[in-house]
Amino acid sequence: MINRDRRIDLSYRLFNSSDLFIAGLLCIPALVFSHNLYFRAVLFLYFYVFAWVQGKRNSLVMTLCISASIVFFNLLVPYGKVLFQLGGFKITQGALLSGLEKAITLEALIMLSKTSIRSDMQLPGTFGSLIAESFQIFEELLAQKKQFDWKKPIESIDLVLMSFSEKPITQHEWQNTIKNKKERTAGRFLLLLQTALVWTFWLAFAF
Amino acid sequence: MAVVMTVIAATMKAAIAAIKHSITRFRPWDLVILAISVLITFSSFILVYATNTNNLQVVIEGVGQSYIYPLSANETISVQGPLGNTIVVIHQGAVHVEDSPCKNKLCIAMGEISRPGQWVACLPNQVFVRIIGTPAKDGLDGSTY
Amino acid sequence: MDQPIKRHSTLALLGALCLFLSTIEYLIPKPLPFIRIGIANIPIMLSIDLFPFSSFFLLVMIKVIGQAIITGSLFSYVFLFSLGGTLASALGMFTLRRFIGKQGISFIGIGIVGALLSNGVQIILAWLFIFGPSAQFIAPPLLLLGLVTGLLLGIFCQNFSEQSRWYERALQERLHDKP
Repeated sequence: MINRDRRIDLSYRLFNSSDLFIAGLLCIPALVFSHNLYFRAVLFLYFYVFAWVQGKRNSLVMTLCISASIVFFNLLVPYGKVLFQLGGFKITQGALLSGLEKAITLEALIMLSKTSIRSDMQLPGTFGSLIAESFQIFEELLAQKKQFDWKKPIESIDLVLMSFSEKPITQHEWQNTIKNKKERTAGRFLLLLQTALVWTFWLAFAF
Repeated sequence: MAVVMTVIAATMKAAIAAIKHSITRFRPWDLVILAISVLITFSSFILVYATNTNNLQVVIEGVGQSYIYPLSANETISVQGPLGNTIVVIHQGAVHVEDSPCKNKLCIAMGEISRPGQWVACLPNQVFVRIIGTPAKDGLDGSTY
Repeated sequence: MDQPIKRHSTLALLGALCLFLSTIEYLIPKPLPFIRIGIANIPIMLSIDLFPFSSFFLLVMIKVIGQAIITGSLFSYVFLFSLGGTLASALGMFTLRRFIGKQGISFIGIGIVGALLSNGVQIILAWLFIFGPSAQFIAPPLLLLGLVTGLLLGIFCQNFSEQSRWYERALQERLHDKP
Protein backbone atom coordinates (compact mmCIF):
# COMPACT_ATOMS: atom_id res chain seq x y z
CA MET A 1 0.00 0.00 0.00
CA ILE A 2 1.23 3.46 -0.72
CA ASN A 3 2.50 5.02 2.46
CA ARG A 4 0.14 7.54 4.04
CA ASP A 5 2.84 10.18 4.39
CA ARG A 6 3.62 9.86 0.69
CA ARG A 7 -0.04 10.31 -0.14
CA ILE A 8 -0.24 13.42 2.02
CA ASP A 9 2.86 14.74 0.34
CA LEU A 10 1.36 14.03 -3.08
CA SER A 11 -1.79 15.88 -2.10
CA TYR A 12 0.17 18.94 -1.05
CA ARG A 13 2.21 18.88 -4.25
CA LEU A 14 -0.74 18.48 -6.58
CA PHE A 15 -3.47 20.54 -5.05
CA ASN A 16 -3.94 24.08 -3.89
CA SER A 17 -6.09 24.10 -0.77
CA SER A 18 -8.43 26.81 -2.07
CA ASP A 19 -8.93 24.86 -5.28
CA LEU A 20 -9.86 21.81 -3.26
CA PHE A 21 -12.33 23.84 -1.25
CA ILE A 22 -14.05 25.33 -4.28
CA ALA A 23 -14.16 21.99 -6.10
CA GLY A 24 -15.81 20.42 -3.09
CA LEU A 25 -18.28 23.26 -2.75
CA LEU A 26 -19.26 22.92 -6.39
CA CYS A 27 -20.04 19.23 -6.03
CA ILE A 28 -22.46 19.72 -3.16
CA PRO A 29 -25.51 20.67 -5.24
CA ALA A 30 -24.91 17.66 -7.46
CA LEU A 31 -25.06 15.46 -4.40
CA VAL A 32 -27.86 17.13 -2.52
CA PHE A 33 -30.17 17.80 -5.44
CA SER A 34 -29.86 14.49 -7.21
CA HIS A 35 -32.80 12.12 -7.47
CA ASN A 36 -30.97 8.91 -8.14
CA LEU A 37 -29.77 6.90 -5.16
CA TYR A 38 -27.20 5.03 -7.25
CA PHE A 39 -25.68 8.32 -8.33
CA ARG A 40 -25.30 9.38 -4.71
CA ALA A 41 -23.76 6.02 -3.88
CA VAL A 42 -21.26 6.45 -6.71
CA LEU A 43 -20.38 9.91 -5.46
CA PHE A 44 -19.88 8.48 -1.99
CA LEU A 45 -17.49 5.82 -3.31
CA TYR A 46 -15.64 8.35 -5.41
CA PHE A 47 -15.06 10.77 -2.55
CA TYR A 48 -14.19 7.92 -0.20
CA VAL A 49 -11.40 6.90 -2.54
CA PHE A 50 -10.34 10.49 -3.15
CA ALA A 51 -10.10 11.09 0.60
CA TRP A 52 -7.93 8.00 0.90
CA VAL A 53 -5.72 9.18 -1.96
CA GLN A 54 -5.14 12.43 -0.10
CA GLY A 55 -4.11 10.49 2.97
CA LYS A 56 -7.10 11.51 5.11
CA ARG A 57 -7.93 9.42 8.11
CA ASN A 58 -11.20 7.58 8.10
CA SER A 59 -12.52 4.82 10.28
CA LEU A 60 -14.52 2.43 8.12
CA VAL A 61 -16.09 1.06 11.27
CA MET A 62 -17.43 4.51 12.13
CA THR A 63 -18.78 5.00 8.63
CA LEU A 64 -20.58 1.67 8.70
CA CYS A 65 -21.89 2.17 12.23
CA ILE A 66 -23.30 5.61 11.48
CA SER A 67 -24.92 4.35 8.29
CA ALA A 68 -26.32 1.28 10.02
CA SER A 69 -27.84 3.27 12.84
CA ILE A 70 -29.44 5.80 10.48
CA VAL A 71 -30.99 2.94 8.53
CA PHE A 72 -32.03 1.24 11.76
CA PHE A 73 -33.79 4.33 13.12
CA ASN A 74 -35.57 4.82 9.84
CA LEU A 75 -36.71 1.19 9.80
CA LEU A 76 -38.39 1.68 13.17
CA VAL A 77 -41.28 3.46 11.48
CA PRO A 78 -42.54 0.97 8.91
CA TYR A 79 -43.51 2.38 5.55
CA GLY A 80 -44.38 0.61 2.34
CA LYS A 81 -44.05 -2.92 1.11
CA VAL A 82 -42.92 -5.46 3.64
CA LEU A 83 -39.70 -7.02 2.36
CA PHE A 84 -39.09 -9.51 5.12
CA GLN A 85 -39.56 -10.01 8.80
CA LEU A 86 -37.05 -10.48 11.61
CA GLY A 87 -39.00 -11.88 14.53
CA GLY A 88 -41.77 -9.39 15.04
CA PHE A 89 -39.92 -6.59 13.31
CA LYS A 90 -40.97 -5.80 9.76
CA ILE A 91 -38.46 -4.41 7.28
CA THR A 92 -40.30 -2.19 4.83
CA GLN A 93 -39.14 -0.98 1.46
CA GLY A 94 -40.04 2.67 1.90
CA ALA A 95 -38.35 2.95 5.27
CA LEU A 96 -35.28 1.08 4.03
CA LEU A 97 -34.83 3.30 0.99
CA SER A 98 -35.39 6.41 3.04
CA GLY A 99 -32.81 5.30 5.57
CA LEU A 100 -30.30 4.34 2.89
CA GLU A 101 -30.77 7.66 1.15
CA LYS A 102 -30.13 9.62 4.34
CA ALA A 103 -27.15 7.50 5.29
CA ILE A 104 -25.52 7.60 1.85
CA THR A 105 -26.08 11.31 1.46
CA LEU A 106 -24.63 12.06 4.87
CA GLU A 107 -21.57 9.86 4.37
CA ALA A 108 -21.01 11.25 0.89
CA LEU A 109 -21.08 14.78 2.31
CA ILE A 110 -18.64 13.72 4.99
CA MET A 111 -16.22 12.24 2.46
CA LEU A 112 -16.59 15.32 0.30
CA SER A 113 -15.74 17.52 3.26
CA LYS A 114 -12.67 15.45 3.98
CA THR A 115 -11.37 15.96 0.48
CA SER A 116 -12.12 19.67 0.32
CA ILE A 117 -10.64 20.96 3.51
CA ARG A 118 -7.00 20.91 4.36
CA SER A 119 -5.42 22.40 7.42
CA ASP A 120 -3.19 24.80 5.48
CA MET A 121 -6.17 26.64 4.09
CA GLN A 122 -5.91 30.36 4.70
CA LEU A 123 -8.92 31.84 6.40
CA PRO A 124 -9.04 35.60 6.58
CA GLY A 125 -8.38 37.73 9.61
CA THR A 126 -7.38 37.08 13.18
CA PHE A 127 -9.53 34.01 13.25
CA GLY A 128 -7.78 32.64 10.18
CA SER A 129 -4.28 32.89 11.55
CA LEU A 130 -5.42 31.69 14.95
CA ILE A 131 -7.01 28.53 13.66
CA ALA A 132 -4.04 27.93 11.39
CA GLU A 133 -1.76 28.17 14.41
CA SER A 134 -3.99 25.80 16.36
CA PHE A 135 -3.83 23.26 13.56
CA GLN A 136 -0.07 23.58 13.50
CA ILE A 137 0.20 22.86 17.22
CA PHE A 138 -2.29 20.06 16.75
CA GLU A 139 -0.10 18.32 14.18
CA GLU A 140 2.80 18.50 16.62
CA LEU A 141 0.61 17.22 19.44
CA LEU A 142 -0.35 14.20 17.36
CA ALA A 143 3.28 13.34 16.94
CA GLN A 144 3.66 13.30 20.73
CA LYS A 145 0.61 11.21 21.45
CA LYS A 146 2.63 8.28 22.70
CA GLN A 147 3.92 10.10 25.74
CA PHE A 148 0.48 10.32 27.27
CA ASP A 149 0.11 8.52 30.58
CA TRP A 150 -3.41 7.28 31.06
CA LYS A 151 -3.02 6.62 34.77
CA LYS A 152 -2.22 10.22 35.52
CA PRO A 153 -4.15 12.21 32.94
CA ILE A 154 -3.94 15.58 34.61
CA GLU A 155 -0.21 15.50 35.11
CA SER A 156 0.55 14.46 31.58
CA ILE A 157 -1.79 17.01 30.01
CA ASP A 158 -0.18 19.58 32.23
CA LEU A 159 3.31 18.61 31.15
CA VAL A 160 2.34 18.75 27.50
CA LEU A 161 0.74 22.16 27.90
CA MET A 162 3.73 23.54 29.76
CA SER A 163 6.16 22.26 27.19
CA PHE A 164 4.18 23.72 24.32
CA SER A 165 3.69 27.08 25.90
CA GLU A 166 7.41 27.39 26.32
CA LYS A 167 8.77 25.99 23.12
CA PRO A 168 9.40 28.45 20.33
CA ILE A 169 7.49 28.26 17.08
CA THR A 170 9.13 26.23 14.36
CA GLN A 171 8.47 26.90 10.72
CA HIS A 172 7.83 23.83 8.67
CA GLU A 173 9.75 23.61 5.46
CA TRP A 174 6.86 22.48 3.36
CA GLN A 175 4.85 25.51 4.33
CA ASN A 176 7.38 27.90 2.95
CA THR A 177 8.83 26.37 -0.20
CA ILE A 178 7.54 27.72 -3.43
CA LYS A 179 5.34 25.02 -4.82
CA ASN A 180 6.11 23.41 -8.13
CA LYS A 181 3.84 25.29 -10.49
CA LYS A 182 3.53 22.52 -13.02
CA GLU A 183 2.27 20.00 -10.52
CA ARG A 184 -0.23 22.46 -9.07
CA THR A 185 -1.56 23.31 -12.50
CA ALA A 186 -2.02 19.63 -13.26
CA GLY A 187 -3.87 19.27 -9.98
CA ARG A 188 -6.10 22.21 -10.78
CA PHE A 189 -6.92 20.63 -14.12
CA LEU A 190 -7.79 17.36 -12.41
CA LEU A 191 -10.18 19.15 -10.06
CA LEU A 192 -11.83 20.97 -12.96
CA LEU A 193 -12.23 17.63 -14.71
CA GLN A 194 -13.74 16.15 -11.57
CA THR A 195 -16.25 18.96 -11.27
CA ALA A 196 -17.19 18.78 -14.95
CA LEU A 197 -17.71 15.03 -14.83
CA VAL A 198 -19.80 15.20 -11.67
CA TRP A 199 -22.02 17.90 -13.10
CA THR A 200 -22.38 16.11 -16.43
CA PHE A 201 -23.47 12.86 -14.85
CA TRP A 202 -25.70 14.69 -12.42
CA LEU A 203 -27.56 16.66 -15.07
CA ALA A 204 -27.77 13.69 -17.40
CA PHE A 205 -28.94 11.00 -15.01
CA ALA A 206 -30.02 12.30 -11.69
CA PHE A 207 -31.43 15.77 -11.95
CA MET B 1 -8.45 -2.62 20.64
CA ALA B 2 -6.74 -3.57 23.90
CA VAL B 3 -5.47 -0.01 24.17
CA VAL B 4 -9.00 1.30 23.98
CA MET B 5 -10.16 -1.10 26.70
CA THR B 6 -7.42 0.01 29.07
CA VAL B 7 -8.28 3.60 28.30
CA ILE B 8 -11.90 3.07 29.17
CA ALA B 9 -11.06 1.13 32.32
CA ALA B 10 -8.59 3.74 33.52
CA THR B 11 -11.04 6.53 32.78
CA MET B 12 -13.74 4.84 34.78
CA LYS B 13 -11.43 4.25 37.72
CA ALA B 14 -10.35 7.86 37.63
CA ALA B 15 -13.94 8.96 37.31
CA ILE B 16 -15.06 7.00 40.37
CA ALA B 17 -12.14 8.30 42.39
CA ALA B 18 -12.82 11.84 41.28
CA ILE B 19 -16.48 11.58 42.14
CA LYS B 20 -15.70 10.32 45.62
CA HIS B 21 -13.20 13.10 46.06
CA SER B 22 -15.42 15.86 44.91
CA ILE B 23 -18.71 15.09 46.61
CA THR B 24 -17.40 17.25 49.42
CA ARG B 25 -16.40 20.03 47.10
CA PHE B 26 -19.76 20.91 45.60
CA ARG B 27 -20.52 24.58 45.63
CA PRO B 28 -24.08 25.75 46.37
CA TRP B 29 -25.18 26.39 42.79
CA ASP B 30 -23.76 23.04 41.67
CA LEU B 31 -26.37 21.35 43.81
CA VAL B 32 -29.13 23.61 42.56
CA ILE B 33 -28.21 22.88 38.97
CA LEU B 34 -27.84 19.18 39.62
CA ALA B 35 -31.29 19.05 41.19
CA ILE B 36 -32.92 21.02 38.36
CA SER B 37 -31.18 18.88 35.74
CA VAL B 38 -32.25 15.61 37.33
CA LEU B 39 -35.79 16.95 37.46
CA ILE B 40 -35.77 17.99 33.81
CA THR B 41 -34.25 14.71 32.67
CA PHE B 42 -36.67 12.48 34.51
CA SER B 43 -39.74 14.44 33.58
CA SER B 44 -38.70 14.24 29.94
CA PHE B 45 -38.85 10.47 30.23
CA ILE B 46 -42.34 10.60 31.59
CA LEU B 47 -43.56 13.24 29.16
CA VAL B 48 -42.31 11.50 26.06
CA TYR B 49 -42.81 7.83 26.79
CA ALA B 50 -46.01 7.73 28.77
CA THR B 51 -48.23 10.00 26.75
CA ASN B 52 -47.37 9.13 23.19
CA THR B 53 -49.85 6.64 21.84
CA ASN B 54 -50.85 7.95 18.44
CA ASN B 55 -49.58 5.20 16.19
CA LEU B 56 -52.36 4.10 13.89
CA GLN B 57 -51.22 2.03 10.94
CA VAL B 58 -52.79 0.68 7.79
CA VAL B 59 -51.99 -2.96 7.00
CA ILE B 60 -52.68 -4.13 3.46
CA GLU B 61 -52.37 -7.81 2.67
CA GLY B 62 -52.44 -9.41 -0.76
CA VAL B 63 -51.22 -12.62 -2.34
CA GLY B 64 -47.61 -13.09 -1.25
CA GLN B 65 -47.19 -9.45 -0.29
CA SER B 66 -48.05 -7.08 2.50
CA TYR B 67 -47.74 -3.37 3.12
CA ILE B 68 -47.72 -1.16 6.19
CA TYR B 69 -48.24 2.58 6.21
CA PRO B 70 -48.96 5.12 8.90
CA LEU B 71 -52.54 6.29 8.74
CA SER B 72 -51.24 9.81 8.24
CA ALA B 73 -49.57 8.91 4.94
CA ASN B 74 -50.76 10.02 1.52
CA GLU B 75 -50.24 7.10 -0.79
CA THR B 76 -51.83 5.20 -3.64
CA ILE B 77 -50.96 1.52 -3.50
CA SER B 78 -51.54 -0.95 -6.28
CA VAL B 79 -51.94 -4.46 -4.88
CA GLN B 80 -51.57 -7.33 -7.32
CA GLY B 81 -54.05 -10.15 -7.02
CA PRO B 82 -55.27 -13.09 -9.10
CA LEU B 83 -57.79 -10.87 -10.92
CA GLY B 84 -55.57 -7.85 -11.41
CA ASN B 85 -54.64 -4.75 -9.45
CA THR B 86 -56.65 -3.39 -6.55
CA ILE B 87 -55.97 0.28 -5.92
CA VAL B 88 -55.95 1.31 -2.26
CA VAL B 89 -55.75 4.98 -1.36
CA ILE B 90 -54.61 6.38 1.98
CA HIS B 91 -55.45 10.06 2.24
CA GLN B 92 -56.06 12.53 5.04
CA GLY B 93 -56.28 9.97 7.78
CA ALA B 94 -58.61 7.53 6.02
CA VAL B 95 -58.29 4.51 3.73
CA HIS B 96 -60.52 3.27 0.97
CA VAL B 97 -60.42 1.08 -2.10
CA GLU B 98 -60.39 3.28 -5.18
CA ASP B 99 -60.68 0.60 -7.84
CA SER B 100 -60.64 -3.17 -8.14
CA PRO B 101 -61.01 -5.75 -10.94
CA CYS B 102 -63.67 -7.74 -9.05
CA LYS B 103 -67.19 -8.07 -10.47
CA ASN B 104 -69.35 -6.74 -7.65
CA LYS B 105 -67.11 -3.87 -6.48
CA LEU B 106 -68.25 -4.48 -2.91
CA CYS B 107 -64.85 -3.36 -1.63
CA ILE B 108 -65.28 0.07 -3.15
CA ALA B 109 -68.79 0.33 -1.77
CA MET B 110 -67.48 -0.35 1.74
CA GLY B 111 -66.27 3.19 1.66
CA GLU B 112 -63.52 4.58 3.82
CA ILE B 113 -62.25 3.49 7.20
CA SER B 114 -60.28 5.50 9.73
CA ARG B 115 -60.37 3.77 13.10
CA PRO B 116 -58.45 0.80 14.49
CA GLY B 117 -60.27 -2.48 14.09
CA GLN B 118 -62.09 -1.38 10.95
CA TRP B 119 -61.40 -3.23 7.73
CA VAL B 120 -62.17 -3.34 4.03
CA ALA B 121 -61.57 -6.33 1.77
CA CYS B 122 -61.78 -7.42 -1.85
CA LEU B 123 -62.37 -11.13 -1.44
CA PRO B 124 -62.26 -12.11 -5.13
CA ASN B 125 -58.90 -10.45 -5.56
CA GLN B 126 -57.71 -11.54 -2.10
CA VAL B 127 -56.86 -8.09 -0.79
CA PHE B 128 -57.40 -7.21 2.88
CA VAL B 129 -57.06 -3.73 4.31
CA ARG B 130 -57.29 -3.02 8.01
CA ILE B 131 -56.31 -0.40 10.56
CA ILE B 132 -54.34 -1.37 13.66
CA GLY B 133 -52.92 0.49 16.60
CA THR B 134 -53.97 2.40 19.66
CA PRO B 135 -55.46 5.85 19.28
CA ALA B 136 -54.39 8.80 21.40
CA LYS B 137 -56.28 9.19 24.65
CA ASP B 138 -58.51 11.96 23.44
CA GLY B 139 -59.68 10.01 20.45
CA LEU B 140 -57.72 11.86 17.78
CA ASP B 141 -56.95 9.70 14.81
CA GLY B 142 -54.24 9.80 12.20
CA SER B 143 -55.62 12.76 10.33
CA THR B 144 -54.75 15.18 13.05
CA TYR B 145 -51.21 13.88 13.56
CA MET C 1 7.32 42.88 26.18
CA ASP C 2 9.96 42.45 23.53
CA GLN C 3 10.92 38.83 23.21
CA PRO C 4 13.31 37.67 20.50
CA ILE C 5 11.67 34.23 20.50
CA LYS C 6 8.05 33.92 19.37
CA ARG C 7 5.91 31.59 21.45
CA HIS C 8 2.52 30.10 20.86
CA SER C 9 -0.36 32.05 22.32
CA THR C 10 -2.37 30.40 25.07
CA LEU C 11 -5.47 30.72 22.95
CA ALA C 12 -3.95 28.82 20.04
CA LEU C 13 -2.71 26.18 22.46
CA LEU C 14 -6.17 25.66 23.89
CA GLY C 15 -7.52 25.59 20.35
CA ALA C 16 -5.07 22.85 19.47
CA LEU C 17 -6.16 20.95 22.56
CA CYS C 18 -9.78 21.19 21.35
CA LEU C 19 -8.72 19.69 18.03
CA PHE C 20 -6.77 16.94 19.72
CA LEU C 21 -9.64 16.01 22.02
CA SER C 22 -12.05 16.10 19.06
CA THR C 23 -9.88 13.51 17.35
CA ILE C 24 -9.85 11.30 20.42
CA GLU C 25 -13.60 11.54 20.78
CA TYR C 26 -14.02 10.71 17.11
CA LEU C 27 -11.92 7.59 17.47
CA ILE C 28 -13.55 6.19 20.62
CA PRO C 29 -15.90 3.41 19.56
CA LYS C 30 -19.44 4.09 20.65
CA PRO C 31 -22.44 1.79 20.54
CA LEU C 32 -24.51 4.52 18.90
CA PRO C 33 -22.83 7.25 16.86
CA PHE C 34 -25.06 9.94 18.34
CA ILE C 35 -23.49 9.60 21.74
CA ARG C 36 -21.42 12.69 22.30
CA ILE C 37 -19.05 12.66 25.22
CA GLY C 38 -17.99 16.23 24.77
CA ILE C 39 -14.36 15.99 25.88
CA ALA C 40 -13.56 18.61 23.29
CA ASN C 41 -15.40 21.08 25.48
CA ILE C 42 -12.85 20.82 28.29
CA PRO C 43 -10.56 23.57 26.92
CA ILE C 44 -13.62 25.76 26.45
CA MET C 45 -14.67 25.31 30.05
CA LEU C 46 -11.18 25.97 31.32
CA SER C 47 -10.88 29.14 29.26
CA ILE C 48 -13.92 30.80 30.85
CA ASP C 49 -11.81 32.27 33.63
CA LEU C 50 -8.78 32.88 31.45
CA PHE C 51 -10.03 35.17 28.71
CA PRO C 52 -12.32 38.08 27.98
CA PHE C 53 -15.46 37.21 26.08
CA SER C 54 -14.10 38.08 22.65
CA SER C 55 -11.19 35.66 22.95
CA PHE C 56 -13.46 33.05 24.49
CA PHE C 57 -15.76 33.33 21.52
CA LEU C 58 -12.86 32.87 19.11
CA LEU C 59 -11.89 29.68 20.92
CA VAL C 60 -15.44 28.38 20.68
CA MET C 61 -15.40 28.99 16.92
CA ILE C 62 -12.07 27.20 16.63
CA LYS C 63 -13.56 24.23 18.42
CA VAL C 64 -16.70 24.10 16.29
CA ILE C 65 -15.02 24.56 12.93
CA GLY C 66 -11.98 22.52 13.87
CA GLN C 67 -14.12 19.62 15.04
CA ALA C 68 -16.13 19.80 11.81
CA ILE C 69 -12.94 19.67 9.79
CA ILE C 70 -11.56 16.71 11.70
CA THR C 71 -14.72 14.62 11.59
CA GLY C 72 -15.23 15.75 8.00
CA SER C 73 -18.72 17.05 8.64
CA LEU C 74 -18.17 20.67 7.66
CA PHE C 75 -20.44 20.50 4.64
CA SER C 76 -23.22 18.48 6.20
CA TYR C 77 -26.18 19.46 8.30
CA VAL C 78 -24.53 17.77 11.27
CA PHE C 79 -22.25 20.79 11.36
CA LEU C 80 -25.12 23.20 11.80
CA PHE C 81 -26.49 21.20 14.70
CA SER C 82 -23.07 21.04 16.31
CA LEU C 83 -22.67 24.79 15.81
CA GLY C 84 -25.98 25.58 17.44
CA GLY C 85 -25.46 23.23 20.33
CA THR C 86 -21.93 24.31 21.11
CA LEU C 87 -22.75 28.02 20.84
CA ALA C 88 -25.72 27.71 23.18
CA SER C 89 -23.67 25.62 25.57
CA ALA C 90 -20.65 27.95 25.55
CA LEU C 91 -22.71 31.12 26.00
CA GLY C 92 -24.64 29.53 28.84
CA MET C 93 -21.52 28.34 30.62
CA PHE C 94 -19.75 31.67 30.24
CA THR C 95 -22.67 33.71 31.46
CA LEU C 96 -23.37 31.51 34.45
CA ARG C 97 -19.78 31.40 35.58
CA ARG C 98 -19.25 35.12 35.22
CA PHE C 99 -22.47 36.04 36.93
CA ILE C 100 -22.33 33.62 39.82
CA GLY C 101 -18.58 33.56 40.28
CA LYS C 102 -16.13 30.85 41.18
CA GLN C 103 -17.28 30.54 44.76
CA GLY C 104 -20.90 30.10 43.87
CA ILE C 105 -20.56 27.53 41.12
CA SER C 106 -17.76 25.16 40.28
CA PHE C 107 -16.97 23.46 36.99
CA ILE C 108 -19.26 20.65 38.04
CA GLY C 109 -22.37 22.73 37.70
CA ILE C 110 -20.98 24.46 34.63
CA GLY C 111 -20.31 21.11 33.01
CA ILE C 112 -23.85 19.89 33.61
CA VAL C 113 -25.38 23.08 32.24
CA GLY C 114 -23.10 22.99 29.21
CA ALA C 115 -23.88 19.41 28.33
CA LEU C 116 -27.63 19.79 28.78
CA LEU C 117 -27.73 22.98 26.70
CA SER C 118 -25.65 21.40 23.96
CA ASN C 119 -27.76 18.24 23.72
CA GLY C 120 -31.02 20.08 24.24
CA VAL C 121 -30.43 22.63 21.48
CA GLN C 122 -29.35 19.89 19.08
CA ILE C 123 -32.52 17.94 19.80
CA ILE C 124 -34.60 21.04 19.14
CA LEU C 125 -32.78 21.72 15.86
CA ALA C 126 -33.21 18.10 14.76
CA TRP C 127 -36.88 18.32 15.68
CA LEU C 128 -37.40 21.47 13.65
CA PHE C 129 -35.36 20.65 10.60
CA ILE C 130 -34.84 16.94 10.12
CA PHE C 131 -36.94 14.50 12.10
CA GLY C 132 -40.03 16.39 13.05
CA PRO C 133 -42.03 15.32 16.06
CA SER C 134 -40.44 11.87 16.12
CA ALA C 135 -37.30 13.57 17.40
CA GLN C 136 -38.86 13.62 20.85
CA PHE C 137 -38.34 9.90 21.26
CA ILE C 138 -34.61 10.23 21.42
CA ALA C 139 -34.71 13.28 23.69
CA PRO C 140 -34.90 11.67 27.15
CA PRO C 141 -31.90 9.33 26.73
CA LEU C 142 -29.86 12.15 25.22
CA LEU C 143 -30.70 14.44 28.11
CA LEU C 144 -29.77 11.75 30.59
CA LEU C 145 -26.52 11.20 28.73
CA GLY C 146 -25.88 14.94 28.84
CA LEU C 147 -26.45 15.00 32.56
CA VAL C 148 -23.99 12.17 33.20
CA THR C 149 -21.28 13.32 30.80
CA GLY C 150 -21.62 16.92 31.97
CA LEU C 151 -21.19 15.81 35.56
CA LEU C 152 -18.09 13.74 34.80
CA LEU C 153 -16.52 16.38 32.60
CA GLY C 154 -17.23 19.04 35.18
CA ILE C 155 -15.57 16.98 37.89
CA PHE C 156 -12.54 16.45 35.69
CA CYS C 157 -12.27 20.14 34.88
CA GLN C 158 -12.59 21.10 38.50
CA ASN C 159 -9.80 18.72 39.44
CA PHE C 160 -7.66 19.93 36.58
CA SER C 161 -8.12 23.58 37.42
CA GLU C 162 -7.03 22.89 40.98
CA GLN C 163 -4.05 20.68 40.22
CA SER C 164 -2.59 22.02 37.00
CA ARG C 165 0.40 24.30 37.24
CA TRP C 166 -0.10 25.42 33.69
CA TYR C 167 -3.61 26.53 34.48
CA GLU C 168 -2.49 28.41 37.55
CA ARG C 169 0.14 30.22 35.54
CA ALA C 170 -2.35 31.14 32.83
CA LEU C 171 -4.68 32.43 35.53
CA GLN C 172 -1.90 34.60 36.96
CA GLU C 173 -1.15 36.02 33.53
CA ARG C 174 -4.77 36.92 33.12
CA LEU C 175 -4.91 38.68 36.46
CA HIS C 176 -1.82 40.66 35.54
CA ASP C 177 -3.28 41.66 32.20
CA LYS C 178 -6.42 43.06 33.76
CA PRO C 179 -6.08 46.79 34.41
